[in-house]
Amino acid sequence: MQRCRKFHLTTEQLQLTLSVTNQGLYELNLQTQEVLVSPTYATMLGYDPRSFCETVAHWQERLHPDDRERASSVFDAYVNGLITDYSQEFRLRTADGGWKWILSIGQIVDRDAHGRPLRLLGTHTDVTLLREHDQGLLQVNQELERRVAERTAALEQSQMALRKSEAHLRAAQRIALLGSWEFEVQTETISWSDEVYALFGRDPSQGPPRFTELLSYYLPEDQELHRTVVDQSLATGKPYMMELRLVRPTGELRHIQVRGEPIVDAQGVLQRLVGTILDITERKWAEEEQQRLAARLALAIRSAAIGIWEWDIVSNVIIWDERMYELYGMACNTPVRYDVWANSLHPDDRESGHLAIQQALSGEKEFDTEFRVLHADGTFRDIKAYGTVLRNPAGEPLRMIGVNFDRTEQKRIEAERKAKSHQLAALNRELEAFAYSVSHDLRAPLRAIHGFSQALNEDYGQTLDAQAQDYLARIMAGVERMGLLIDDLLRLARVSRGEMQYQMVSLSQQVAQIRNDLQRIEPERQVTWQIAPDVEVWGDANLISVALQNLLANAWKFTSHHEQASITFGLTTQDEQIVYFVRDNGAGFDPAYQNKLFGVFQRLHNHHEFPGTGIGLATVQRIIVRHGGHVWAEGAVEQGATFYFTLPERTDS
Amino acid sequence: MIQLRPLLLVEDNLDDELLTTRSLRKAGILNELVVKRNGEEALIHLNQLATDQDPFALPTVVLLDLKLPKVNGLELLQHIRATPFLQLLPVVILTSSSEERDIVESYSLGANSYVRKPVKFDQFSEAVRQLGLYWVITNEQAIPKRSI
Repeated sequence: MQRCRKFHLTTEQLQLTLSVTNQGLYELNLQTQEVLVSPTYATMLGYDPRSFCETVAHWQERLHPDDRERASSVFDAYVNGLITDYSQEFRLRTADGGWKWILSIGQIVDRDAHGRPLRLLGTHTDVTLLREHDQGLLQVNQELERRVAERTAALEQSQMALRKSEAHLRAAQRIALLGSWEFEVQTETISWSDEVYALFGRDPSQGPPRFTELLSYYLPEDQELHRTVVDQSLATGKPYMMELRLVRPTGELRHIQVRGEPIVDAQGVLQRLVGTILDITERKWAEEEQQRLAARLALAIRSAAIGIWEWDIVSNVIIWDERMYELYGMACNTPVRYDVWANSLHPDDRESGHLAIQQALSGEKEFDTEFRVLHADGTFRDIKAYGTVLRNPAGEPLRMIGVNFDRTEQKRIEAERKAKSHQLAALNRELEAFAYSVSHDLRAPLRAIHGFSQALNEDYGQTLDAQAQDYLARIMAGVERMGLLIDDLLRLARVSRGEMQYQMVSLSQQVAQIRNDLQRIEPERQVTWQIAPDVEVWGDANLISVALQNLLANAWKFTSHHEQASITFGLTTQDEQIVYFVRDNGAGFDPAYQNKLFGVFQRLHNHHEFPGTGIGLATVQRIIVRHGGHVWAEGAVEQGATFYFTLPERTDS
Repeated sequence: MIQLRPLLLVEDNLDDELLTTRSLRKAGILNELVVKRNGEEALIHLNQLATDQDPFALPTVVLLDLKLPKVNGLELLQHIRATPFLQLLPVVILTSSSEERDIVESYSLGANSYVRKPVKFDQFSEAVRQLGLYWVITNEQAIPKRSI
């Protein structure tokens, strides 16, 4: 207390100064850790200076927990000489439990002989208000910074959005084949979006064209149009739209649609034109295609004489085109209602016609029917009718549209054809009966002639002289020949009749079978056979067998006078088609008579040389032609003959 | 066993009849030959046989032409097959035709054999000879029982 007073006394002036500036003074004895303080030091913290006594421990205890460690370590650092100045701010608890910000500045003022600090003198300044002020300032500052950051971000965002929407616009223009342009009237400069360059096929590095160059892109007749339309817009200030054809530098023609709008300033002076260019080439093509289709449809309707009708069910009004009136034998523009139509039908067809309409309306059946239409002159027309019902969303029928066409002629042809085919069938039956009758009745007398000739020879042969016997033999030979002729004729008739039974037929096997048969009948003959293996065709097995029998029997017969006989069955190709052939090295024929080979009863050899009826090759030809193939022959006298034939490939019908 | 029962020939052509008879005789077949010259006559004869019910009067074989006046051969064949006492009779169709439909119909109606009369007479007589011998000598016949 003494020392307190002493200090009090010696520093009165200072004390006054300090109290005026509201600063507390302290003096710390570093040996004792005792602190002498001025009254302001105490009052600053809300203590009564008279009872207030400070120590380092007290000070530390009063420090704000958040500041304690930092403040203590700064103090220690200074005392231990680690830092040269002591000045720090910290919070101290006040007497009422509140907090005050204190600026503490101190200095070691006394040291011992070893330089160890003895006394520290310093001041406490209440900086709470200042701190609070600073804090407010800091907050304002931070708020400002935040706002600046926000603004910056917003700005960046909007720039990004702008860039994005520009990209979008470019993409949209590219996808829509839509370009945009501007024309500055004063400077006559054009500016184009990327897509316009693409539309014009102009390299963007060339920049936009001058106005006159722009015009040269268009077809001559469109240049005039362009000039007129733009001039008019400039004069009236109204927007315009036109379709033009431009030719790209590559020569490609494009259709474009140009829109433009004059822009004027506040004084009403024209500044520029802005607008768009749309590529409408595809649409133009589609339109042209549609026109072509419509024209084609119209042509088809006209040439097929199709009448078109439309029936408004609700108002019961039927609209007919010209052709409909023609089909129904009525004057054009006669009003038509349902009953008018129904009454024009043949009485026998009215019920079925009405039923067909009802079924179409109820959705039971498509309208697809036939009826006869009665004309004023009493004649009928056969009409084929189709129609379709148009309904509202509830499914109720609103309208029917459809077509009629005249089938009278077609019906007549059909009837005629049917009658013809009946006639043909009757004729066929007659022919068959004829053949049957021939088969039975023509043979019987031959048998009698032959039989009794033989009986005569057997029973009375010994009384007949040689000449009489020769006559008898001739009679019998003639009869035998007649028998063969009848058989062959019947066979020829048979190959033309009857249904074809199609199946896969092995020609190779059939040829081998026939070879065996021929060889068995004349085992003494030496014939070299060559048969191509695995040859199959699509045909009637019986008929093909008959054809092969004839061809091979011919080959067999016509090689009979040859020592080195050979018969070949094979195939080759001609004009990408498979051709089958039977070849022999026999008597052959004179090519001059080639065209006679396949005629009935045509023979190129005498009977005593090579017996035959002259019907075999006609039969072959008929069989091959019935299959849809061809047959022909090559040969020369004593050079052999080759018979070729084709057969169509398998069809599923 | 040699059948001595008769042969029935239904043939409208007198030439064919004479030639057939001659061939059979030449082949040594001595059975009685009953000849009917049209379908109706044959039908009456067959009906009589059915009425008499005498198995020994039944023909060994019926040689049947197809084209016959009044009742044709196929109708006769049909009648034979439909008549209980006659239905097992051997029937050989002997005809000029080799039309497929004749052959098919004959067999489907129950013909035992189908022989085409060849124009060449020695073939014809050979055919008749073999037929006669086969049915007369070789073939064991089913004799129908007399129904009471």
